[in-house]
Amino acid sequence: MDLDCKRVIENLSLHSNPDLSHEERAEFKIHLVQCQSCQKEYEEMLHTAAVLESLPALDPPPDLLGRTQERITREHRRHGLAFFANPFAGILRLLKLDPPPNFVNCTAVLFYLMLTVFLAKLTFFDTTEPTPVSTPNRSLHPDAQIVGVPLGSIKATVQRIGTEEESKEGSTKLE
Amino acid sequence: MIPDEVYVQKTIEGDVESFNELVQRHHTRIYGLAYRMLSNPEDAADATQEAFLEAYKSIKSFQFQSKFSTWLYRVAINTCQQYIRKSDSRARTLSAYTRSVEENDAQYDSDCPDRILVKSESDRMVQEAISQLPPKQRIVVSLFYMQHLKYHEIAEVLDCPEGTVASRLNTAIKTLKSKLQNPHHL
Ligand SMILES: [Zn+2]
Repeated sequence: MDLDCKRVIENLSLHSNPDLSHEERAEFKIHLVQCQSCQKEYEEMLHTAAVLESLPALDPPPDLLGRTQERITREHRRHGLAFFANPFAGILRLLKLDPPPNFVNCTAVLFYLMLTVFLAKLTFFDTTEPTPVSTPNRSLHPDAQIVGVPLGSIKATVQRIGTEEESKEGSTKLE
Repeated sequence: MIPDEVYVQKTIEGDVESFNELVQRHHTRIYGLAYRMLSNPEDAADATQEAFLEAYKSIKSFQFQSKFSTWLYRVAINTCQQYIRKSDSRARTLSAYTRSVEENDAQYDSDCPDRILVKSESDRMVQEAISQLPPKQRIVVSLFYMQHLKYHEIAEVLDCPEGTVASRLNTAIKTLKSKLQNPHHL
């Protein structure tokens, strides 16, 4: 291979080589027309390019589009979630539910509100409730009726029972 | 057809379905690019998803000064380069590619199995030769020969002069030529 061929082959290009001057380009063209071995080299480059162009277009996996769109939608919803609603979204995802972010946000707010009320009640109010006075007696006879009795009459009855007991005790002592 | 940029604007305004329309339009070519860069169908599919997700997250950085596809290619190339850096795809390349070619061929009509076998074998060799190019050359080869972008478009995607694109292509062609002539060097 003579020096000219070596230079031409080094600079052979399918894609315009910006490093070459117009004169060099013209010179190489003339050489290429006359020299068979350089022509062969050039044709092989053309063939390589043709091989690349003939590679088949690749079909993506059929589920790629759906999976990608689903992931984008999920990202969109995740973005719409308030930070405090994230645990809820996680639980809903586990349950295979995917409500809109606003719904999850509202549910979270509601939950936290109820939790606050519950905790406040637990902290500031006594939860041991006194036994209500008016609780009806469960063993009450079905025919029995609860009636209002004046307080004075109850006191009188209690006093009467008291004196009766005392007199009984007195009589047993005497015996 | 409604231009991509209209969908981009709607996406920025919060309409996720507009972005999914863009995914529909561009996923095949982004997958093609990722495949040629990563030489592995699984990685290519993952990288495609990642690229769209990244594009969605950073959609507000799209300046409307270039075409959306140019910008998307740039995002996808970055994603693929991260994959090349971190993944062990080279080791998985050959077996995965062979498998996918065989799967693809099984779908074609089986009238002339010999021709298909020869073609897929040569495709496999070409893809393997491409996968051995330095990443920068792999990108220009893929964008020029498979995605059919013009010099100035590739230059815009890669943010480099057109001369650089041409010289990378020339170097890549010469390397591929010698690799394909001496397949045992693959
Ligand atoms: Zn010559």
